Amino acid sequence: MKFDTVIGLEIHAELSTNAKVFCSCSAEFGGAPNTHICPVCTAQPGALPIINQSAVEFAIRAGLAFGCEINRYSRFDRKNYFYPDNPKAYQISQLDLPLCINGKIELSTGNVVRINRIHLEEDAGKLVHDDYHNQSWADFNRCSVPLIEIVTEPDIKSAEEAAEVVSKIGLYLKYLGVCDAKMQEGSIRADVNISLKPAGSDKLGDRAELKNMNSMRSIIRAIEYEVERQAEILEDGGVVKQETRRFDDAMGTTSPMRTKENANDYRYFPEPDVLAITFTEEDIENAKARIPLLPHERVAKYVNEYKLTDEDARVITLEKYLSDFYDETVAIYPEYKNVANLFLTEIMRRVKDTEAEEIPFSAQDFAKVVEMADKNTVNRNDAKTIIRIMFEEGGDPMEIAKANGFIVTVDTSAISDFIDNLLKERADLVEDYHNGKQNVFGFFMGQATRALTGKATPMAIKQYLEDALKK
Amino acid sequence: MRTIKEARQMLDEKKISSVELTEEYLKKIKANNEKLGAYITVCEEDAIAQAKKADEKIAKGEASSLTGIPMAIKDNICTMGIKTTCGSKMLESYIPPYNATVMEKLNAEGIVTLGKTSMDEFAMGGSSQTCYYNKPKNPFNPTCVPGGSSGGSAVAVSGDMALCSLGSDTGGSIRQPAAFCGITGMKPTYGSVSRFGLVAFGSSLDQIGPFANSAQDCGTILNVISGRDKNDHTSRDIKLDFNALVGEDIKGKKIGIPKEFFGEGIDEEVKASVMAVADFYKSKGAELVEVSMPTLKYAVSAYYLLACAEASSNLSRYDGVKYGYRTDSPLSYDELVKKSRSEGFGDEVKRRILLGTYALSSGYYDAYYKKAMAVRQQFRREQAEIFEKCDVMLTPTAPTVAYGLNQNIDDPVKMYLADICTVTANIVGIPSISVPCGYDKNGMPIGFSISAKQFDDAKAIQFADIYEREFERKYANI
Amino acid sequence: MITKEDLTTLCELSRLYLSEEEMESYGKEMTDIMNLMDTIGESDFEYNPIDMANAVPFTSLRTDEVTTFSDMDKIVENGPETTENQFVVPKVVD
Repeated sequence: MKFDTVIGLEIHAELSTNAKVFCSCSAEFGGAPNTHICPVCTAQPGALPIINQSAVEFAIRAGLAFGCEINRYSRFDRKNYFYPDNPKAYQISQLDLPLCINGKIELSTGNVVRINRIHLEEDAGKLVHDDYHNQSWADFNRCSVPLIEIVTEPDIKSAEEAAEVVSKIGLYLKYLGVCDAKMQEGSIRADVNISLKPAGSDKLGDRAELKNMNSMRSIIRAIEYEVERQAEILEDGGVVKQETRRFDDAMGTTSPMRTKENANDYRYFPEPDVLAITFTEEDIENAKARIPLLPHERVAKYVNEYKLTDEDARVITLEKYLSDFYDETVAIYPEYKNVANLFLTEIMRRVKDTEAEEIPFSAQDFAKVVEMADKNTVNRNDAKTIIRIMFEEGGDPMEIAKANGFIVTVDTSAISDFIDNLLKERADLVEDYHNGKQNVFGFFMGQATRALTGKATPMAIKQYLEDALKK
Repeated sequence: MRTIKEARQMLDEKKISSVELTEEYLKKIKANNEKLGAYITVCEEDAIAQAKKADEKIAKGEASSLTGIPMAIKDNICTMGIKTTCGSKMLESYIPPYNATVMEKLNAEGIVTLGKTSMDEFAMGGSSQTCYYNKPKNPFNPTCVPGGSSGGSAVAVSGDMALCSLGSDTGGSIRQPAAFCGITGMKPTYGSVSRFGLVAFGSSLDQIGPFANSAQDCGTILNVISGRDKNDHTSRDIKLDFNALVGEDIKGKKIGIPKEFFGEGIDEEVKASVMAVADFYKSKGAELVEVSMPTLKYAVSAYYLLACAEASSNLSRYDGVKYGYRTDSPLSYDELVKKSRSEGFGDEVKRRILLGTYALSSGYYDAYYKKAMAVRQQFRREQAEIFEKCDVMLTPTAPTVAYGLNQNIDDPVKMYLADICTVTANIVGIPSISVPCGYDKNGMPIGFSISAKQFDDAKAIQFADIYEREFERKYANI
Repeated sequence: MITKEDLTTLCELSRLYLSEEEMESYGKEMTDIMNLMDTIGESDFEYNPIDMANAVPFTSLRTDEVTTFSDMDKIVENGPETTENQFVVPKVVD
């Protein structure tokens, strides 16, 4: 029996605001336990939430980037549940009137995944478990850090597509400057709803929800495992239990969660402490104005305006900071292709697997190197060495070139001596040349450049040779 | 001396110092608090220290309206460094790490905090008898309740153990005890006074307000504590002068008399007394207009459904983890939370948490919570119509005078129904002030309420003040 | 009518224990109270989720600035049981 896989995602992304969403504590990652707390995020009696404008703006910026409509009237609701990482015993979230609705993401497979909604909510604290004393310790630093939840329709057909949706959303949020999308820090994580249906059928089967996937690898493995598990059940004529399951990275298997997750009644109701928010057209326009060129738009620009190959353009835009660096460089030195070539060969391979998302020198310096190579101030191989040194030791490109004797000097007397005497020796060929054997020129060029490396640039040699042959 | 106005004059004229004034009240508290149970916590040393500071301020001629005035604060308003119990075992030892916004404002003025007053547990009750600590009694007759939930704050003023006090009003918790104890108490417009630091009961209904011996004093206090607060998203950016209309006559002004408030269930003596107030206003040139609030029959249910739904969520934070009561050596997190809550909360609180949980639980949300929200919106429309026709509305504050201790306590439904006169002001968020207007055959105080439309608080005070000028107020003799 | 089952569910959701006797008395009181609450069933007003009386413009929201609370230690001091500046509970497993 054949099955179609049906996957929907709930992606949680922490917004990179300065302050938390409902209080003014720092939203920065890390910090010693309970050092980013105040009466509000620790649910002191009488404390009240105050909503952060940037958190709302970041959320609608994301919505606009994914083609969502923005609700002109958006409200917050309380989601009630007890857990030690949730001091108020309710999470301020959005149910009926989220900030953004009806967006979409296009995948490389051509499949279009609809986005049901994007809503704003607050993160919970962190628990560390002490098995020896059989205790859990609660740190509220993360409490009330802004989160957006991006909910897709069940339009995803495979583990690969699911992974592409997650990475694409992460990449776009980075470009938007609203989330650093570091899965290892949990700043982006996904819940996966997955079910199977008989191939071709359009009625959805019962789904399992896989909670808090925080790496691409585990998303793919978890889905693949779950597809097999559910297929087996269905083939034996069984029914898949609608439940929340946890993925065990070590075992590569999923198992039902023991929490009351599976029998919960969240008793949502409108949050009385946070007034609803209304938006004007101007508010929306201002948010739009803050959206930079997105990856697909940059690719188009590189290909159409800069005449780069599609492949090169795509590679450059894989990371925002790289694409930004390229843009900065060509802004200073608009030799698009030459910049791209050295960038792709010399920079990309050095930063490919580094955690630090930065290049240790400025776009100015890089532009200078490309220009030196183009103008033959140094030859191309030496230019590459200069970049290597800039990575390893840093320093000004010109200084490096001088220090390593890469600067190509032009010694005119050496040129004239050598070429004059070469033409004298091979008067026969000079004659052939004048009788129309143009390729002779190439021979003279080769001889000269070889003999004069370091003393003359090919340009200068060509110049002199042409003049000499005219005589 | 009974009013802030008088005290202000004597302080400014150096006829008395704030320290002397404070010591006087501390003496009275020592003498009567045991019997009347107004205070849970008395801040003797702090009070004297604050009074000294106030006297310096006065000496330097830097005194403002409340500098050096001894005041009592309801124990659900967070006072940094001073125990704030909410009348509950759950918060028996809770010391807030911050001040409520109203406390910041009052302290900046240089008031003297005499102490924290007793109240129904988490403000849930109309008698103050659900208080876990020394339960307050009515100064006019200690065998009767002082009303609630802000009973202690009312008793402190009525029993002359404070010149004025702060309470909170979710469904009548300031106005009803004010009426029972024969003093003036006001619930201002929702959003006019910051709730930051007021321990939440029903967030969309709660409002802090004053008790005093005159409407003008209430206005003076409100002028200090009101205004937009960046820490309370529901506080509105409208600066009111609560005493702006004091002294202006009311000729030609229209007073709405909603007939539903004078029907069955309202004690005859109360009815008569409040009707006499109507005649008084008429004699002053005001016009009486009969109005109707057909939705009133749903008021109590709507109120309790909304208040308890919000409370069930607001009180979930009391889990024995971060502060407050924690059960001994629980075996699991689940047991820690359940036992701490079951042992830390009293019956009425548990009852309301269960009721609110029920109203929000899946399958019942539409039938209860959503219906109540719809009724709330209908109330707004009805009141808007009334205030198009009228400047203010006149009603009894409570259906009866103060009843005997432990009467009604065992019958929640009867207790709830008694809130009929006060809850609509909270549901709609309008200002309402209760003023004494008489005494029944046993000498127990009767109060009436003047309500106005949102942010028309000054009008309510204007009408209350005019009545007070000619009413002969009696004080409890203790 | 609030049945024992209803009450058990409500207690679970509210994280409350009730003794057998309490189950009895609460069940009775809650039933009486709900009978009062049920009167609201007769009302038939439309609830409008878009409630402009409780809305504010986006531009009025708090700006994104960090302020550090000065008494964090007092917050942790209030914890009934703490270790290494964290709040301790019996181990939770999911």
